[in-house]
Amino acid sequence: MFNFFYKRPYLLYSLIGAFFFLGIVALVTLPKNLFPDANRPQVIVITQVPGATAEVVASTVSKPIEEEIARLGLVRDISSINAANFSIVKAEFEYAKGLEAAAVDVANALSIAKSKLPKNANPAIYTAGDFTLPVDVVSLSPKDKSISLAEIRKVADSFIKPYLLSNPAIGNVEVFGGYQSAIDIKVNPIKAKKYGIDLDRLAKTISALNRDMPLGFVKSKNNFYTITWYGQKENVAKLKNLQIAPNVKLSDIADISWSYQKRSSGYMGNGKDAVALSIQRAPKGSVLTVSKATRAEIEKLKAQYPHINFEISDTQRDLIETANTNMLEALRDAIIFTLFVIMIFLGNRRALYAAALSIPMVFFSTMAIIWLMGGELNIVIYTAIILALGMLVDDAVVVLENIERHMNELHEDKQKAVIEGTKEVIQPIFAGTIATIAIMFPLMFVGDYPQHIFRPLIETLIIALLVSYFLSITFIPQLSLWLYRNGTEKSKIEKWFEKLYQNTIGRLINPYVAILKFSNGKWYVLRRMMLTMAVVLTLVLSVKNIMPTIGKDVMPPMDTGIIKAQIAFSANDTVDSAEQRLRPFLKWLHSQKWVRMSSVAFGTEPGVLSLGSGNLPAEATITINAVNRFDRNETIWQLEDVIRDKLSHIEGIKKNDVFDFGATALSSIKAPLNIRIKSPNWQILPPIAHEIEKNISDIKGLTSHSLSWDVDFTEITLDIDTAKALSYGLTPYQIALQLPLHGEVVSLGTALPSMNAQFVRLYLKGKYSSNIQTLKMLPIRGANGVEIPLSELAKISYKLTPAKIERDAMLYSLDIGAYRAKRPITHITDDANERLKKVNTDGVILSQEGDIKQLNDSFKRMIKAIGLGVALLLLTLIAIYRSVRLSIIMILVLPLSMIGAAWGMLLMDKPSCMPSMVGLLLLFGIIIKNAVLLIDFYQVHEAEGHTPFEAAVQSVRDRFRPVMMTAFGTIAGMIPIAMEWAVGLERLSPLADVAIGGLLIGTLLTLVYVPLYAYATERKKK
Amino acid sequence: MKNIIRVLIILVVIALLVIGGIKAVKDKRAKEAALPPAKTYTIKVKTIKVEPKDITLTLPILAIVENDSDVKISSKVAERVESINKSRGQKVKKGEVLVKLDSRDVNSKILALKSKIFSMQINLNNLQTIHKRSKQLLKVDGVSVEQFEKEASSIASLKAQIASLKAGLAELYALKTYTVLKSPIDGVVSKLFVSVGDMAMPGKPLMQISSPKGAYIVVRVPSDINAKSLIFKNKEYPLTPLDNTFNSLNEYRTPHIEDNLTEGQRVDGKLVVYKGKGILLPNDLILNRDAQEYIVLANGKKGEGFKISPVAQGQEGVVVKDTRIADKDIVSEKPDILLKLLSGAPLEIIK
Repeated sequence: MFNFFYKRPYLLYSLIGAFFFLGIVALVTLPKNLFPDANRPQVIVITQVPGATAEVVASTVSKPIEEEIARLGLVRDISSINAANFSIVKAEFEYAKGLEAAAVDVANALSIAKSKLPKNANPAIYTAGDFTLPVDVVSLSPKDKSISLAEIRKVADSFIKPYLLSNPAIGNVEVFGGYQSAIDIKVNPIKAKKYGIDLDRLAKTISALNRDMPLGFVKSKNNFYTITWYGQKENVAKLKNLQIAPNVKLSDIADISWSYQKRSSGYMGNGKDAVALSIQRAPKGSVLTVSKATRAEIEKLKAQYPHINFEISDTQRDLIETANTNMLEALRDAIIFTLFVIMIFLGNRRALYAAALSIPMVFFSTMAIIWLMGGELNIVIYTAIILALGMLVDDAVVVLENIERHMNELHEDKQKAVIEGTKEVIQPIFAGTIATIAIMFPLMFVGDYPQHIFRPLIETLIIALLVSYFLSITFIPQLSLWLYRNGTEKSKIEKWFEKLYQNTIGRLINPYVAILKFSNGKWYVLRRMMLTMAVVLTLVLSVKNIMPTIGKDVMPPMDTGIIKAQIAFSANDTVDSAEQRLRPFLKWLHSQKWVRMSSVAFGTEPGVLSLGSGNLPAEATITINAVNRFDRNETIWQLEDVIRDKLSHIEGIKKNDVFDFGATALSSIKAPLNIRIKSPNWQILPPIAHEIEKNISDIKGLTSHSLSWDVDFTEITLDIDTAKALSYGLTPYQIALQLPLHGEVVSLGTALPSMNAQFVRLYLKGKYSSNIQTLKMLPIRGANGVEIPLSELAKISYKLTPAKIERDAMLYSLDIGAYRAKRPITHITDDANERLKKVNTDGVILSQEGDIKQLNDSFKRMIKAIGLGVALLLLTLIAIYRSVRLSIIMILVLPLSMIGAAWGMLLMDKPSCMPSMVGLLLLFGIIIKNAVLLIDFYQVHEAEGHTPFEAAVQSVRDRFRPVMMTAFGTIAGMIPIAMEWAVGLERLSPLADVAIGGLLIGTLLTLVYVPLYAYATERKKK
Repeated sequence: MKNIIRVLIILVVIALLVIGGIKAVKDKRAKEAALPPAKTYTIKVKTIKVEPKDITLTLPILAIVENDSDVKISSKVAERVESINKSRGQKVKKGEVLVKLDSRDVNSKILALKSKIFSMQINLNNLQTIHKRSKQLLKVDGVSVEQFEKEASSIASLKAQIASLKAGLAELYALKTYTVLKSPIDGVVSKLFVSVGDMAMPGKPLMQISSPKGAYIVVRVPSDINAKSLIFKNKEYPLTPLDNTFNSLNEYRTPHIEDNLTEGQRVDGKLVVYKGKGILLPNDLILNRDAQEYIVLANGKKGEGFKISPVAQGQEGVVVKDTRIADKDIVSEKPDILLKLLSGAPLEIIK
């Protein structure tokens, strides 16, 4: 290849130019993200079951759906959340399934399951994944009194949502916040009684208008019964004229108006009551494109609706833009550091120019190839490029140095020096590149989560390495022809740097040579053993003591500036009372200078996945966007403590979890520590869960803990005496329909027509408890027109039931979740397991479902990848060097670098994690290059006729400077990553910590032990 | 010398590294051990204080209005209805004419009797005149004693006949009153059973007059509820049991209520189920658990469960007699918060 391109300089330059240009285009147009999409495909089935309780929903709706989905292929987990009136079934599939295939399969399963579901249940399918997270959340609130929130909701549903959806750049728009339109029918009870009309008859007549419309009954303060009918505006006139009885129209006994339904969901954006528009991207879309389009449309909408206030209350855009900008700055800094190192170690301005020119070429060519392959830009890709810097500079310098050596020492002329010099180093450079690729290659196929996160990194690295190899044997020789056009003379600055080097680092050669000489002295066997033992002992002691101390994480916690809080008030509370209690807190929040926006979503709305989704009406998810960590003094964990303290002062707050966005590795993991108990019988779960929670409450490092559901919702049970009821000509169902006459009933527990059950359940809002007494005397009209008080027909009592029940893997499940600041997951989970031994868990299946599950799986895979990588490397080396002995020596030196890796992690306060494992792999890849070059020169010297010992010493002398330069160059390049100079790098910095620590120690040790063993194990005579 | 120094330096450096390393590991372990566990926050609650006082507990009830002063106007005579002077819904005063029946029959009977009495009276007069003469004649023995006594007995029997006819006439006059029916009370014509031309029969009601003064309220209450009185339109009325059941419900009635009530009307009222001294606890702060009722007392930072046995329950709350809870802080929060306090969560009272 060298010869081919050497003879065709124009072809070379045009090729480089083309890639350069493509690279610039790529940098501008590639979709940008924070981390690669790593969430598995999820399909969610939401079913509305009007009037059913959590228990009924779980057993009649979720169970059949789960059973059908369980039969599908590649299903990883099926879980469900069941609350009054709705069921949410989540099916998580393996990566291999793919989103479209998953959705189709679930749709088919559902069509089979539909026949087993109750008649009025309507399931709907949604796909979920990384694209579910809203790109932007726009908060709509009234600017003045001329428009109300209910009207804004109508406008949002009917006009704004379709308008935004018509823009092809926007994926999906979800509207959230309650106030859904409905027709209010306020019945005057006196008038109704006058005509002898009861609610039962009314309900039947109205239902006849449209079979599928659900009805809700509520009594308001002034004794009017309100029936809410979810119909269309046009029907108001129709309803007014509806004949209820001969000569009686509905408008005679009721006021009918177009209004909104009683709320089971709510939204507050930036502290104001609002309606939220959640903008999502399409599954493979780019966040920034969608966000730009959205904001442009919002500007247009602002002009169209002058009375509505449009604000952004949550966004991904800032984080991604900041991260990308930070990374480009980090790249710039890495380049500067690397070039500086070259100058110090080489004192050669031509090398500097060569490196400075090759860096942008490699960068843009890599960008171009990523773009051609259809990738995206994220922190992982940028990190890969920064990592590649050190390595690629190395290639260029090696070639250049050798050409110079040919000119200086061998006194060849320019052309010959270039040709001979390059040819000489093609093999070692190629070997080094192949060796590094070989060790990293298995990581691309490690499978599952690690593969999704790190494959882009390895791919980018491999591309960068190959491009760098190509450039170093084609471009650098051409460039040297120009660089050395005036000979190899050094300038004054260069000479000054050279002197600096010789007087400082250059002197370190002597100790090395001294050690080698030491190992060849008297009783050399003993000496060599001593040296070996020393280093092995250090390795063992370091690893044994440090690894357990630093613990393990999947990915270390990062400070993105986005804080999430999950709060809950009493299960019997309403959205309105919850909002009222939260307002003072939000006022305080927005007065803090580190807060930029806040978004609070109460309750659940059918069909909305990005907000709420599984929350009860008085439960809320709060998302707070703080300024990025470079603009404030406090860490995100300190801010979380402040917020948690403030929230704890609110009256009646039951759950108060505050944690950082991205606290878990995947969005399907509910909490960092998540203990799950499962059983076919849900009643036994809550007491055991309380016991577990009590026991884990003293684990260090936790910030909060809570149960995912509990039996703490008060409902009123009517035990209907069916015999007595029938003696009056009534069925339990007919009694149920007459109930709302005097109480505030939110939903009836027996709207399912097939139910002949005795138990009827009522959910009462507000002053519910006074109404149980009211219910006692409630007149129920029997078949013969006789009125009987309810307490004659039924025994009324209170009961505590769950407001929400969860299921997982076909059993009922309850999660005890706990959040942490930065303590490693393995330590927390080990503590939890210790304490769990004291809890009696008979009858339930207990499992750890937090980060630990993913951690164990990922670590296993990573270790396998490392093992395979090393094996592959060994075989590659044997092939290149045609010597098993030498190859084994090179491999054996690799673990020595782990000493530095371990200390690096300890001193930088990082746990073992997936990035650190990748760092280990990279470390090996870099160290091996040095070993390769050492051995190469050793073989060359041996071939020249030196003794093994002399060859060893000479190779050290030859390679000391370049090895040092490579090591420090790579370290310099990794400094921005290790120092976390970009948002999000806290997750990847262990990679740099491992690499830097390992390189420092490893390089020093390689220079001693590789030559030592090379000559010591030589069978030839010394 | 140089060698020894060099060796010493190397040893010192190694020693420093080892000590530094051990310290770093120890520091990290200490830092982790010093991490605090999750903070236990106090739950902020509101409390109330209660005192013994006079309490009235009520339950809302739908009652029915009945009227016992309704008069049904009926006739004793079987006559045709000639005119109806007051229509349905009209107000009537005591003494006003309501219905007129056909009185011609009675009138002619009266006439006949009158004339018969008249003729008999004339007869009598004649006989009396004769008798007078006979008496004078008897003195002069002009007539026989027998004739004189015969005349006397004829006069007597004629007097008796006239008297009985007069009695008969009085009866007819009485009957005549039944052809003009007047209202015995002030009221409203609430029901009309006949029309003009119908035949009125003795005992068959012709119309009903309802008096507003006669209305009272009847409540029907399940046997397990003790009804003491009824509050209607903010006035309290005592309830008298009727010792009668209606579809197995006990019936009670109030005394007469003057308030424009119509019979059959359904009214909202409040049934008083308890009246007396005691402590009233609002329903909101009672926790029902395993069929027992509890309240939670705030004692410093802890919530203590206190079993209560209500003596009565109404829509205002429940009444307990246990004075131990007077002057204590009772937690006023939703049941699941109370449950959390009972399971040990610390609390903090807020105003």
